[in-house]
Amino acid sequence: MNLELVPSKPSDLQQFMGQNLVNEFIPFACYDKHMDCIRVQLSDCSFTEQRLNPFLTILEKNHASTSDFIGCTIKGVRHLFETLGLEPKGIIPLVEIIDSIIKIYPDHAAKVIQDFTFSSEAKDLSVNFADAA
Amino acid sequence: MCAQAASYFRSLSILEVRFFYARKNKKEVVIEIRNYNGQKIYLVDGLEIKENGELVEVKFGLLASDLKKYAQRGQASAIAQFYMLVVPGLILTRHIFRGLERPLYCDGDMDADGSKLVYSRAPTLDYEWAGGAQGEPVRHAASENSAFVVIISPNIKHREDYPGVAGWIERWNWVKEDSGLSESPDNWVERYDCKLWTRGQS
Repeated sequence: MNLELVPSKPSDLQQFMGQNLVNEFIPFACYDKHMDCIRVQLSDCSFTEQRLNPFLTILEKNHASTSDFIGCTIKGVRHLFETLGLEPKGIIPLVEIIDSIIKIYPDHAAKVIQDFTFSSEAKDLSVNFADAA
Repeated sequence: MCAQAASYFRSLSILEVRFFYARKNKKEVVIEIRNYNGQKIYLVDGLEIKENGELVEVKFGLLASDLKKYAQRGQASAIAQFYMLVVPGLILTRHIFRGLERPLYCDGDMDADGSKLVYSRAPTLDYEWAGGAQGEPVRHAASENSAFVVIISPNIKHREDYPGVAGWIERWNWVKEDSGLSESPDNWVERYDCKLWTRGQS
């Protein structure tokens, strides 16, 4: 069956943006407590999540002429942090988390995330666990 | 407004209701925002598989405060995708999967991964946002070999506080499409515990 969508009125969306989009996008790293993951995003755009392994995902920008990673996700944070000897409390620099992951899981997926983090604005980001989304 | 929708809204007159329209298969779909004890929730039409295998139409919720957090971070394209892909399109899902194959702690449950639901389909269009608060959605053809997924947590613990909310919309994004099962996430067999339902299959 061909189920094609006719979107809801753009004016509804525009009204929401007009009332709520008060800030320009700023690269962020945050803890998503509902999905128990750390989300890192450097650009406001459509992207495709590419699963590297059960714990790590890299975000690739859509509608671009070249492959461009704009973020990553670290999943299963509570379990992972137990293994890493980290506590999900306070403010932790992203590079510190990545370094810990690389020491315990020095595989290809972790290397991809390390390369992305250390070669981008992500290296300057921290995760504030007190400010979990 | 069709008579059925008008009747529906009259029945909700004690609630603060705002509504939007989408047209799907020449049929109007009403989207609403309800107020539960001062907390506004977007309600989106979706499908749920009961334990006996019955497929029923339900409402899935997203806290308005959560969507505003997206706005505060400037994640305008994700908001555009919510309005243009999730809201009118969740009911069009092609597959429903259950259980994430990765550890997940949520709401006091160290094994919350098992209860998560994943809804996937492959829309032909994608959306971004351009122009700041006074901007507009930008429409793209969807990337090839991609599927759009929405992750939902069943509303188990908070049914009394939020009656009528079958589950909570946690996340929506594009993923690579599986080469063997169209409109499903790449490697879904390893990603999820099981496939609950596929449209067009009994």
